Amino acid sequence: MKKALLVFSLAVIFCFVTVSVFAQNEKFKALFVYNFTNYIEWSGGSGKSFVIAVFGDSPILGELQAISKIKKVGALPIDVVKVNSAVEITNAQIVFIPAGKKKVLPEVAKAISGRPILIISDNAQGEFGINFIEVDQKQSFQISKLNIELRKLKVNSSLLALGIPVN
Amino acid sequence: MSPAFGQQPEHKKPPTKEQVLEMTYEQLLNMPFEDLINLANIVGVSAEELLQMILNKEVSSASKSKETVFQSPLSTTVISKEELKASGALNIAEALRMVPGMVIREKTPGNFDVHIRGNDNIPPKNMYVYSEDAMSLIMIDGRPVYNYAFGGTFWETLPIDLNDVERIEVIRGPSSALYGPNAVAGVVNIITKQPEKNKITGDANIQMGNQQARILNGSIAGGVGTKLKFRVCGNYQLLDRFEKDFYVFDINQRLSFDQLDTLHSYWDPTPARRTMPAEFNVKDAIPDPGRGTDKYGVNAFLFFDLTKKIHIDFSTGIQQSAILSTTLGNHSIPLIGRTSHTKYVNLHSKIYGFDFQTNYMYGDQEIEQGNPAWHIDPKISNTQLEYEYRVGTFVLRPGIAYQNTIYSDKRYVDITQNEGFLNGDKKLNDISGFIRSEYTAFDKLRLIAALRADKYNVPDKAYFTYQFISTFNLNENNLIRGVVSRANRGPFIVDSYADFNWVLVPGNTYATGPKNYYSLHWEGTKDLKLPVMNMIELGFRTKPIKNLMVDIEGFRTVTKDFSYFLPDSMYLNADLAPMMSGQSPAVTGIQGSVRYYNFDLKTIQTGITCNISVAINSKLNFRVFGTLQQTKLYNFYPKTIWNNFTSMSAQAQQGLMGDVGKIMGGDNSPFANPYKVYTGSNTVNPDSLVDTEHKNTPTFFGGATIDFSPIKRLGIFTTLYYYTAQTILLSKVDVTDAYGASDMYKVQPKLIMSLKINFKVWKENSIFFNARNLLNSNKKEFAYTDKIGGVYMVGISLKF
Repeated sequence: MKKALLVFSLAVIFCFVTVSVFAQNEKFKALFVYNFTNYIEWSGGSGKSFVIAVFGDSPILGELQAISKIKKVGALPIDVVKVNSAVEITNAQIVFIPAGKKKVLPEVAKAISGRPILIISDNAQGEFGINFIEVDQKQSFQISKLNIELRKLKVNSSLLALGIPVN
Repeated sequence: MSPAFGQQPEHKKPPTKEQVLEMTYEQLLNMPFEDLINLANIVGVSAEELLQMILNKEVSSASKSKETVFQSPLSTTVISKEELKASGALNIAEALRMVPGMVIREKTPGNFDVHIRGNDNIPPKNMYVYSEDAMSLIMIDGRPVYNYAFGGTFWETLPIDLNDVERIEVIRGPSSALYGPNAVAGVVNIITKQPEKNKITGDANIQMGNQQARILNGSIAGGVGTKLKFRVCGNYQLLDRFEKDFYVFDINQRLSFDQLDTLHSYWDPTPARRTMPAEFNVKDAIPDPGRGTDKYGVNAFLFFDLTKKIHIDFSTGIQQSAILSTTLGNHSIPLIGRTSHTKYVNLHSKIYGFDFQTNYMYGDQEIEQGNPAWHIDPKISNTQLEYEYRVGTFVLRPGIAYQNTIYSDKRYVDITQNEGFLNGDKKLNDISGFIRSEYTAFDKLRLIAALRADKYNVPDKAYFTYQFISTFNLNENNLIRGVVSRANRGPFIVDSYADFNWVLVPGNTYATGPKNYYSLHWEGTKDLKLPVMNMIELGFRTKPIKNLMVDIEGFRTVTKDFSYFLPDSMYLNADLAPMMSGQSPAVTGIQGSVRYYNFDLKTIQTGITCNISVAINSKLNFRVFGTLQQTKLYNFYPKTIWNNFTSMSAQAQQGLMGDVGKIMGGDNSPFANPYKVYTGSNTVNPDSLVDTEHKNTPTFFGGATIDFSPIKRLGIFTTLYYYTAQTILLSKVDVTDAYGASDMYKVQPKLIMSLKINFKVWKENSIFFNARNLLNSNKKEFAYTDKIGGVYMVGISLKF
């Protein structure tokens, strides 16, 4: 019985630690997304708020919403919205495609072609502006100057230096 | 913890992971991005992402597009570069012991017999060459590295080493509709590394141990501007044997190398008859009797990313190898030297939706050292063009391919005297067209159809193969899938073109001196049917909890149209004239022919493979896997080559004795023409075909890997591999009665445990201890080959 209790306790501790670290990691991705906004020269949008559209259900949605309560982009309040299809992306400045939805990246890229929207993906390949990847078990990101500029946005060169530039 | 962490003096210790996890949003939002990145590095990737990386790697071979292993429509396993490095495997073939569904036996140190799901040594009771894995296609970055002379893969001739590998993708099951001929049992696609950064980086790895083990490799990589990256790498391996002597079939004894004065001496079991000049000298055949493996390779890779939609990769390399492996035919000893010197170039470009690849490999290979008839120059070229057309969830990928294979022995033998196996340039080519379509409905149901037609010059026929695949996501954690597929093996140079005067086949006991050898003509057959495998497979993948992934596949394959090497006629030349003066008739020679035939042999294999991956946390993860299978042979022709020789020889001698009997009885009519030719022939009687269980493939084979890092700097990786007993049937010189050597070899069950302990001294620079076959279980893993014991090494790994 003692052994069973010990195993159970270890399992609970393990689950707690895992969930905690997982949440923290999504938190860092959200923090990265917020920091990216400081290195991009934005155009377009409604002028009333800075909209970050998150594709589908993702824990990052909650993390970004937490940031939106604390921070602004320039003078604009941050509005974090969930979208389920490419057509729902209207006034957004950023669309975030979580790893679980990376298959929609080509569809989203096509749907918002030419519009000043930064596509941030997670572990994807394709027409992203910024893409989260892990390098040596550390959080990093790829950044495509070409893709960002194709969408009529300007990126500060210091952001290129912080990430891994790709075409 | 100050919010302005980035402004702290550099000498202050960075925060611990726990301290970072305790930081608030306000603290994190108010620091420079550079510092935030540093903190993220301290935290590392999440457990969830770690699981994703460990359990559910990305694969591109299974459907020719990138996806996770969980979603892969075929039975697929991926071994990542991290696992390859952590495992300590010495070469690519050994690393495949970490893959479910692989039968892997080490013949001599460093040299492996590799089969996907078994189906090996078919037809049995034949020569060693039939035990090679002719049914699996091995590729490096999509370039086939296949031996078209007689099938299989010379693993030691791969120019790259594990240090050059990004990942190994293994697909089990017939896949020639996607990859072309020879992807019958499955495909191993070895994907090489690409530089991650423009910065110049490099690595060097050195390990040394017993058996003269020297394993060295290194690379330099980097970029020039934003569009060009490069990688240059080299590797060297040396491994000595555990045994210094050699088994000799004909006397069922082991002899020292010095006692093996000539191989030929032991062709004939009767010492008094060892009067023939040597067929070839043992010192030429085995120049270094203590050597297991001695090889090196050098490669250069260039990667051009010209625009977002134009990528061109170019690679080139050379390799040189000298190993001790099994013979092809039935010599008096089972082992012989094999060398290879080859070069290759490979160009792969992706331009918009087009995918174009062309490559060329050439060199020279002594497949049996010391035997000039088996010294050949291969020249192999492949060209392939595909186009991907995508509309929504519908994908269409048509393509065409051309392969040209030339093998030649003309530089090494006098082809006017038919001294070689081929006697000149022999060509095989294959023009193919294929199409792959994929449709995903409701984000859950995926349907894939692949069709391919290959038109060969030899046999002058087209073969059609297919794969119909369906996967259905029950939900995001459960997937069921099914495959119906057909694949064919390609033609081989030897089966098609052999043209060899085999003048020294022993066994004619009727005469002495030079005449106690048969003279046979070994002849290829150009209209052989090619072996075809049909498969039905059902699979289920589940992630019941986030730390666990279970992958189960059940399969049934039916394979037919095997080819078989069979003596079909024999002629005994005799002069009866000496009998006129009361002497014995003079036998002046025996000739015969051996050809390739198809038989009604059919194999049915039924099996199940299970793979369980568990990622406990960032410190511990493990996998357990195993395959349970049964293979049955139907219409198997159980006679060996030597049974047939004996039978035909008896027929011919019976004819001679009939005439001798007549003369002895006073009938002198045979003297009318005293020079006689007596014939013996062999046709396969359907009644002689039998159904039997094929025991060459172990009933169970599998293993486990355990990756444990108790502290960040220390990695302990354990690999276990196990197979049950096997019975390998060969056809040897028929001396069983006299000396006890057997055509049947029982491979005993074996558990092989390997271990690598790696300690990071500074950053990614480490020292390590690497033990292959830690428990030193020195049972032989293949018929009559070497004992394989433990290899214990220490090494250093540097990265800059």
